[in-house]
Amino acid sequence: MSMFSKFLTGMSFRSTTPTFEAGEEIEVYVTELDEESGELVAQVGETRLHFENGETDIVGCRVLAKVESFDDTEHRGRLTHLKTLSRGSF
Amino acid sequence: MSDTDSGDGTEIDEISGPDVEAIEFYGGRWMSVIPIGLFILWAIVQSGLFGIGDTTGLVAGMLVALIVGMFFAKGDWKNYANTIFDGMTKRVAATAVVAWLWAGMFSNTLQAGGFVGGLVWAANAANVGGALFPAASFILAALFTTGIGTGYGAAVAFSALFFPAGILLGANPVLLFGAILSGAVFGDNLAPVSDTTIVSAVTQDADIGGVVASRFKYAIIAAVLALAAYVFAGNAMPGLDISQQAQDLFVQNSEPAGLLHLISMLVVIVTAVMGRHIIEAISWGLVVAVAFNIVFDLAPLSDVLLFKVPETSAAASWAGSLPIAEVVAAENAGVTGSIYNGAAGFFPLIVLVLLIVAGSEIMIRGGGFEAIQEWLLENVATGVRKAETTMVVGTALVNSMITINTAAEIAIAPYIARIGQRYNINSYRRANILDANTSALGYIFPWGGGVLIGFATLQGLPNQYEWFTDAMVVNPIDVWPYVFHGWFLFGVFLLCALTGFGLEYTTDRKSKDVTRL
Repeated sequence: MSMFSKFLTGMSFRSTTPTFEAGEEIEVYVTELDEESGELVAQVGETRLHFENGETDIVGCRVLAKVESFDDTEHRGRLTHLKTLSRGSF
Repeated sequence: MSDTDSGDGTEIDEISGPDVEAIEFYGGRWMSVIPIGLFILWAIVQSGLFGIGDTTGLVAGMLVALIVGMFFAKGDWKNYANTIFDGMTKRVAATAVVAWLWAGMFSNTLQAGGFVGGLVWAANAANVGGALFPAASFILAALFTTGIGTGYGAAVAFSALFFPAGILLGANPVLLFGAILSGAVFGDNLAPVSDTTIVSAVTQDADIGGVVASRFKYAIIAAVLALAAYVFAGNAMPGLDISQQAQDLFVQNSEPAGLLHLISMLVVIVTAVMGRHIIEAISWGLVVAVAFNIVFDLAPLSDVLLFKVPETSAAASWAGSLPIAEVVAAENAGVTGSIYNGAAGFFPLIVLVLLIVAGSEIMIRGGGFEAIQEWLLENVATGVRKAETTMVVGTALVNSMITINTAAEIAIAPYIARIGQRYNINSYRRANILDANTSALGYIFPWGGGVLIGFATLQGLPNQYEWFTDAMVVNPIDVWPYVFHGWFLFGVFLLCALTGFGLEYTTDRKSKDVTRL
């Protein structure tokens, strides 16, 4: 990213339900353990991405994950956990 | 926390450190809020009620609060005591401390080199009249604060020099004081060497250069609106009629070469935004600033660093010939200069941040943090727009209650991090919401630290100038509607939270590794 573009990035109105492409690798915070499905979830805005793997102790961690599938209409997707990167500062 | 493998061979303990033990409190998990809650109460009483803006006083408050909290902890108090150590040694506190020390050295060196004198010269050369003087003061105070990073320093320097000059030119006193405070807000928010900028980046896991670049758009929108408002109000609001000349006051304090420090300031900003470590960026700025001071005769080397050698020392016979030493009476021995004073100026704040992070850690391990977070997420921040609005209003509220805005920012930062992470809001966006509303609200209300420091400077003016009467001193309670940049910055962020303008998610772009800052 050039120095100039660093100043201009984000100059738009952003949706509450971002979309993703299958095969995309993303960094996300693991938000919670969904009580109904028993799966880990990363909530990005109001889009919910369910993990197909991963231990419960990564809730709150920033992880690298691969998007396996994504439903544009329901704003739901499935992820594979690839790597745990860090915990937040708190 | 377990040491379970997380599914990919990455041990969680490798990332987060050793196991921690929960603390149980009499009365349940909400009682773990006592240390931080009592501290906030202390801060409101000390600064809001008594009007005492003393950071070391807040240190005393935090110490007392930590002791009181211990009496409510169940079982062996060793766990509570160890948690204080664990909190104080967290990386988030250490990184802020290191960055502050560097920022302090840099800003003091710029001030020693007559940066404000350069801006005074620019104001004089521009030859603005009373109606436009508040707008010009806003721009120059904003530039000054962006260079030195401390809005409090700008409030003092501009209240001492620009305020009396503006009064003589016929500017409205209340509007002029508001413009000076607005400039302080701008720089406090944007400068990479600002204490609040550093805290906002460190606590939200973002690099400082990226944070500065990403908040530029919000700051400029608010600044353009504020500038237009000062031009309009400057023409609409009458000044005082004083038959004195401002010219002499300007000429006495004018130093055109001081403007060279705009380059020192740009060195730090550009290198930080280019992605260099903030310590490296500020070090380069410091080297350039010291070189300008010496080469252009802005300040001698002894203003940067001076050893005051006692006459009783064995080295007294030759030390006096060194450019950075002078021989003094034994009782005056010590070290001084911008490097020394700049770093030392942050010592009370450093101790305070260590203790507040310790108090936060107790609240986290006692369950109080989670209880408040759960309540907020279930009742208030129930969607991403509401979460951002909660972050904006929450930061503004805490900062409008506590005089020293950096302390307020540190106290609210964990909530901004957790609520933001709940919706994967990008670390730059979280840092920007945190810092803008911290900077804005710290300079608006009569008990705000910046307002009090500026007011204290104004009170000294009748002793300096014969023509300056007590009636010309602006009452802090009158200025709050006129800190236009503060209000516009808060308004811009409120609008951005409600509409999603500027919103970025964690998945949109990543901050550089926080260890690079």
